[in-house]
Amino acid sequence: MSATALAAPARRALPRPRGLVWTVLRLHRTALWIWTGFVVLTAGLLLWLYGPGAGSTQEKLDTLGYSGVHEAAWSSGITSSYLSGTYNDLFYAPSSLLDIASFAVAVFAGGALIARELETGTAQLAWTQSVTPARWLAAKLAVPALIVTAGTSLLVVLYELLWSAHSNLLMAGIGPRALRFSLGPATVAAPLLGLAVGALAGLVLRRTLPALAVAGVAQFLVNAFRANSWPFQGHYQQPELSVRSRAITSTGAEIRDPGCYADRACLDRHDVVGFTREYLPSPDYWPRQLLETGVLLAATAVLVAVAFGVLKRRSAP
Amino acid sequence: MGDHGIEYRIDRRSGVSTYLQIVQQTKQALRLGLLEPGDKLPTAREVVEATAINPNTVLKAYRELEREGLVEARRGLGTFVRRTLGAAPADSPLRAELDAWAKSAHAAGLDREDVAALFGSVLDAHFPKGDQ
Amino acid sequence: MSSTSTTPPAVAVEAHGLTLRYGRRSAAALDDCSFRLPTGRVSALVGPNGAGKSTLLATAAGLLRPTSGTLTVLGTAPAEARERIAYLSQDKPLHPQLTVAETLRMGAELNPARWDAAHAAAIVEQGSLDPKARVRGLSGGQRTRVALALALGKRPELLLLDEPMADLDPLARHELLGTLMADAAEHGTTVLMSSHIVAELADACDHLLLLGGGRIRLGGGIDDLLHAHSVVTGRGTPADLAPHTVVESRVTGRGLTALIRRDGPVGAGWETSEPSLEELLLAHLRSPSAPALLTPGTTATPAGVTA
Repeated sequence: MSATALAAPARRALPRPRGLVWTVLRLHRTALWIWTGFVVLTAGLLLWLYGPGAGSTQEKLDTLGYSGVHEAAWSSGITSSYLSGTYNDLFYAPSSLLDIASFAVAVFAGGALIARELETGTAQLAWTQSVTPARWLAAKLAVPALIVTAGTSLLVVLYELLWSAHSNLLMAGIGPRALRFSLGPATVAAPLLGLAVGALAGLVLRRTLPALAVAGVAQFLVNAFRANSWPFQGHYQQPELSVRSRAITSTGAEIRDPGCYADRACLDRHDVVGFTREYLPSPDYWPRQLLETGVLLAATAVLVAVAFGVLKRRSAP
Repeated sequence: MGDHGIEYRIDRRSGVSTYLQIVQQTKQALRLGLLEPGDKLPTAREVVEATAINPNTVLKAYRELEREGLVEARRGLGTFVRRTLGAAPADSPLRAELDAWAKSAHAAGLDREDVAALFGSVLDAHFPKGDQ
Repeated sequence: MSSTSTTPPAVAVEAHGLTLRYGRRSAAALDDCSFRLPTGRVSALVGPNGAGKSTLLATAAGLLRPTSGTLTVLGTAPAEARERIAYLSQDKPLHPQLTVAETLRMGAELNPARWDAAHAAAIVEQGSLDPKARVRGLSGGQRTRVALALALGKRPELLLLDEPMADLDPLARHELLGTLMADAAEHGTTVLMSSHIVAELADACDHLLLLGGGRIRLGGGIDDLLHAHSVVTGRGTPADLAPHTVVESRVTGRGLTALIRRDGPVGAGWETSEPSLEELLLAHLRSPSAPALLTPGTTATPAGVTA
């Protein structure tokens, strides 16, 4: 039976998917391609930021210190839209994309994954094959959950690598602080909550457009709440993130940044040959990140349990 | 199974019940020599696939033919023709009697419909409709 | 066909006081229905629009929960019999983005224990459908054929079809009914199919359930039901027809034409004939107060009593 296929969907060296897993993958092939495209493009952006993209800004930091970072960030004008192309701005783009992704997962789960099937009767078509509604919903949740988790996990790992390599190229302020505290296991948990929000909206409303809209609004509220309310990583409530910024003299000694800006003579006078700069780890990071992850996963579990309850009430025993 | 084929044609507006149409068409095929002893009748599955009628209707017709001794069912093999049907010879004494009766009816001034109605009622009285 | 006369016929569907309301306050879509459908029959489920046909079929398919009463299918709860039932709902839902071949593949994936790929493919081929064609682009009749292939590929013991022939042209209707009948002949599949056009199913079915206003009005073998009734014409009043049950009567000139359920022989002076199926159904639908008739084989047995 395909119960085994359901239990071990994607772990082993890619056995051919069977049963419900095959069905879910085939039915939502377009969504799968869109998701894959998103992951590939975002990963590409992260790798570019990690590698070639960092080059010129890194050079400015090495030669001019924090003033160089500043100069690089502002070089393309005062517009700081993501598309302006400065390294400092692009550094935050994957984070915004991940936020949008969790929103998109909720909309997908509410619309195409669940409600459309209930609305058109194809869910009932599955339930009159040799498949119970509960197993149907389990596959509908487990397969996307695994794929979404795999994708976001990959992106978060790449983002962490990028952070440890190049966060020193970010202008100080709210930005790096907010990014640092929002990046971690909670980034992986958020779209899972979106999946549960969407599935529940779909099961309750049973019609595509309302379910899609409600799921989107609900996930938007989740994201807004996360961004502004303790214990979540409110953008304006995070602890300070300390920066250690030093100039390096020709003897290898680290001194305070003399504040020369681009004044070569000043740098020579202070015998500065290079700079080093890094954001220091915060002791608040893990407690906050784990607490947030826990709350998100707990909410996900509750919504999934409610979704199964709703399904049980809706379908015959 | 087209080798000794009989293909039933069901006329839904004939007013004759479907199973009876099968019985009659089989008998007609026996009279015409289209079916001979030893021939196999199509299976119920073949008949219903072609005619979209209920399988039990076919089985009922075959049972009727079997009851009349025209066919026999061999378990697992199918239904086979046992004997053939000859038409009543045109020169039999019965025909001569009927011929004489029709002449006197005509002489008595009965028209075609009257004769048919009279014959029908006598037929019904001596050969009741249905199985019972 | 294979059942011997000593064992009682097995039951495909049995209802006891089956009632179903869609909302707490709304009228009952099924109102205290009790009947049984023996296995191996091809039964027409007929009745006017809104009579409860679709509700009954969806309940038997395990998609709706009875408000009260019970419905057992193949001797168990509908949800337990899921693997052995196939159900085709009125709007024939299929995934528009799948091809015909992928739709059948889905049938194989979701029915691993029972799927007959060759049978399903043959039904699709009979309609000369391109397996690579997307369901989205098929006509209504072609979609019905694919949906039916999905249902029959499962090799069900009980086939529940809701208005299966509604959007088929005459040729496709004949072919698909033929396919259904062949399946019933070969495998003894029990079929319960609804229609509001009686003539459509009259030849294919040997059994009938008539629903009116959520209640069972007639149930039994079509021949038995027809034999139990007579159309009588003669001089007199409905009262003269006692002890027979007068289902419907009409005064015609000096005489009276009535459809009666016989109780013993009909008295002299009445000309009798057997009603057509259509006459029988229409008479019962026009006379909601006429008592229901279930032939002995289709009466629900009290729990615990067999045969």
